[in-house]
Amino acid sequence: MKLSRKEILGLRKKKEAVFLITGATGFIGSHTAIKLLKRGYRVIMFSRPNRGATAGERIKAMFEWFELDTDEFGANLEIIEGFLDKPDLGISKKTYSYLLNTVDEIIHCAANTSFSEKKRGELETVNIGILKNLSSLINSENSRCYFFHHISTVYVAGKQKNIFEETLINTPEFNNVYEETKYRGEQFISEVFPQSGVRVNIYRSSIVYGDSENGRSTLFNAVYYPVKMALFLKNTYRNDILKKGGEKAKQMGVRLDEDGSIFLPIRMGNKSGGTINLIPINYYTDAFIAILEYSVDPGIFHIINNSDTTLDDLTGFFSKSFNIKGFRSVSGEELKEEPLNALEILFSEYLKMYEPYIRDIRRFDNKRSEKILSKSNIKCPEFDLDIFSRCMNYAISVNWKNPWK
Amino acid sequence: MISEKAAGIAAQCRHYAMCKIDFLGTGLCPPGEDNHYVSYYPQGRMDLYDALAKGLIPVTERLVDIANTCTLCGICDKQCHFVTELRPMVVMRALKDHVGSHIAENKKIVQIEEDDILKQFKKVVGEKNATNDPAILVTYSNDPAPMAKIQMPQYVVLPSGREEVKNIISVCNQFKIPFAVRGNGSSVFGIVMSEGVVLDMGRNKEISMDKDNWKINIGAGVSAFDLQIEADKNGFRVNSAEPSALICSNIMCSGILSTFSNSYGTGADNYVDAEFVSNQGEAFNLNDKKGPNLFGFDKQGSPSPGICTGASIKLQPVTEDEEGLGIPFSSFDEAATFCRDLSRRRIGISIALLGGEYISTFISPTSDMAEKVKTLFIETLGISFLVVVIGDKYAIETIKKMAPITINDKLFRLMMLSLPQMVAGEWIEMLGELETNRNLYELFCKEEMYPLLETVLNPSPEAIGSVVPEDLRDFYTQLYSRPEMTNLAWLSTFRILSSRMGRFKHVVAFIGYAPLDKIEVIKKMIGEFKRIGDKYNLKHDYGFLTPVDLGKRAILEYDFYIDHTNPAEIQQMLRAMGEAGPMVGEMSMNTKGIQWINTILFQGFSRKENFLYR
Repeated sequence: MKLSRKEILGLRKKKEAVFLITGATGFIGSHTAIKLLKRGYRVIMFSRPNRGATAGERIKAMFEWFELDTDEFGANLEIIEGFLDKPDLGISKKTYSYLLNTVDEIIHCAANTSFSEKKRGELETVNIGILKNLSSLINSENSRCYFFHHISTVYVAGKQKNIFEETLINTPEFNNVYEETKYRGEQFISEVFPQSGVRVNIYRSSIVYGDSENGRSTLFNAVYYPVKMALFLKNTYRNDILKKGGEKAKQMGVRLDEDGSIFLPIRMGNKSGGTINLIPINYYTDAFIAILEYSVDPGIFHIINNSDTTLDDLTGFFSKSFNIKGFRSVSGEELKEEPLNALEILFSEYLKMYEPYIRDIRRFDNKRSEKILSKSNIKCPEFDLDIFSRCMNYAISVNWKNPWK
Repeated sequence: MISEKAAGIAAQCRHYAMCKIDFLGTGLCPPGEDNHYVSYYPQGRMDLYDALAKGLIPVTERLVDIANTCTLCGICDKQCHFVTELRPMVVMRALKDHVGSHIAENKKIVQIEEDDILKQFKKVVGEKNATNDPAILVTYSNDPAPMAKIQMPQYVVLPSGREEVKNIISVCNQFKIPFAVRGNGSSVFGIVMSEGVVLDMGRNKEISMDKDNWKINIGAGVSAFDLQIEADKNGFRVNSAEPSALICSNIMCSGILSTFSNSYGTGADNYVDAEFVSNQGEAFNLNDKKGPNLFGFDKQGSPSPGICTGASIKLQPVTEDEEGLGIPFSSFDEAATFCRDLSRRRIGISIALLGGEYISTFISPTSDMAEKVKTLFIETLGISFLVVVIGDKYAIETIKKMAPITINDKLFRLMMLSLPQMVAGEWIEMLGELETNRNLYELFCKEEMYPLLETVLNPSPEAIGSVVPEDLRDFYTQLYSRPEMTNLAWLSTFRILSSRMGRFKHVVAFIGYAPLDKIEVIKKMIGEFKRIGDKYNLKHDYGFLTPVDLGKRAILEYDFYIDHTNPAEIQQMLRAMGEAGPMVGEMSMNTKGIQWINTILFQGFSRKENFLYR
């Protein structure tokens, strides 16, 4: 190992350790960066320009969202604009050399989280290719970097049905290209990085949603998407009923009931068992920092919720929060009785991709993480109606948009 | 005073001659119809103002007449906006103002003396139909084709009928004056200019049906659009190309190519007979045993055999159950294979494989909308290519069995009438965010989705009308209330949308024939065009492909776009052409079935077998 436990802990304690964060404008990256800065660490945020905005402009907008100013952190915050998918990271030789001489620890948050096979090329580049570029940086003779923190997912477990421990997993089959590329990323770093004496921690999380305390979020996929779609459909048909005579709603079997609720006729295949594991971003960052600061020896950590949620829970929360009825689970036979209507086609398409996560029968052991988190009294809140409403109402209030994307 | 704004618009005229046909039901520019010279149409007035701005012509008697006869009716604004988004009315007003001020200030109005030659021409065609007035001449002196150079003719003559043409040619030969023959002037080769005489063939608009012989006889001044209207009125269709092209000139130039060439053929397939006047002034017919053999083809090229003064065009049967159907694809290979399969199985009448650039440009009323539609189609929905088929109900039913996802007339109409909602709505944004392994069009185009699409997109003529400038909104709304404006079969037959491809900039089209059984060869050609376009920093894109002769061959078009008023772009275009020509020539030498259109110039009467299978 490049540095001893003592040396690492010493650097961190004196807040002299410099962290490079990739994917710094992403959901997890941004929250992690802010948390580290608030704890007094030196942070280099690495980001690419996007849609005409420089990395600096994007990060400034991001800080505004956090109700912070980049100036507040003085010399502890640096921004580097570059492209991780380029072998030289898309930065000048001088900047590259600066990173070699400055960065102590890398927190690799950059990832592509799409499940779509159509995007395989992008996923392979981002979830694997970038690691190869970073390995050149880390394995350089004059690289200072002694620790690589890899943000991963518990779903590298793929299609297996066991209980998965916090160890490297051998997975033969995957539900989608995301799982596969994240798995291959883990394999790569586990083989390559330790060779040069760099310590590697892998943090595997389940599905991360917004802040459980205030509902704030900048990412509205996964559990948010069907809610957004259903609310859009509710508003569309409500408008049709109230302002246009309701002919189209009638044709679709949509109705406005006397209690003011709207009925959307959506049947979903009723597969038995399975739950969804959701963790809020505030819990995630607390857990991540606690593990990072505590565990100096390399390891794999599962950051999950010990309390699962069912699809019925979710539809229940949804109905109660938004006064929408009509979602019902039916047997496969019943589903085949009538052809799917347009609303069902949309939701079934969503479910096709999210089925492995919404009705997940995989289980993840988190003893190692829990040991650390319990010491710090960090607990994951149960995903309940209050949290659901808070998060969805926040999403609605910002029109499901990230202000810097 | 020359208005800079008007001069800027005037210089942008693409010469597509769409203002010479009544393709929107607005009626035609009244003085144009009366006087025939292009100078009296909006296209000519744009050129005149451009010439005045450049100091190329004085104010002449004809110029005064041209300015005075413009009624500022506004038809040109509607027609030209529909095609190019230009607003010629600014120019029409400026031209009238300029001439009005000139007269008010008692400035000289130049009278051009008649010479003996002009008198001879007038004897043949009548006083009105021959001139040496620069206000007429200048509108026949240029062409946006990059290789064309300004050539001011000495005379412009409007002959009508074979006898007049014959006598005009005699005069030309007698005085040894070179001549060029011009249809509606939208030449892609820049060959319609002459230092001597330009014969504008637009005057003879005679059309007569001969149903028993399944043919329609036309004079040299009949446009493709007018011919199609006449055929359609009588329950037929003809194979015709760009709507503003004069059929006879089009045949002479390249032969008739269209998406209907899939079933109607190309070259000699389309004509029953034609009449000509040779360059020596002798009359002959296509079917004369002793006449020149125009059915043959010379790969080295061939000089013009003379002037086509009329033709008998084949009438094609139409069934009442014809419909259009679009079949989306994300890959060219699959789309081209599908086209070939349809053609070899004799399914469908018209078949076209359109690229994203064409689809979006054709269906969008503005270039801004076209850009958004292109992104929507390609990036969000995954429709990079669309095969558009026109067929009877049996063909349509069969295609639906062959292709699981299609865009029928109903969906096409729905999409066209909701373009603004499609490109900017919350709904599309949400669809784009849907995680799926499929192309999104596979969901979007399902018939079960139509009721939902109608609800969320709320299609209407008003919606599509809302994207154009306010003063044109009512017009567009009324226009798109007409069912034919969103009907794939009608639009494919009358082709009024295709000239929109020159809306962004003037289009320089590379058109030819290619072996459809060798898709890799076609892809290689496309790749080479792309490489050349990139190299010379020109906007370029794949255009379309249509199977010919049961899918053995295909018509292929690849387009480059240039600002024809920008000398630097013209130079780049000439360099690109200088590289593309030899590239195609070499491929043509090495691969059977490649035949580029410049070798077919003046050989449009050839049997297709003579140029497709050599």
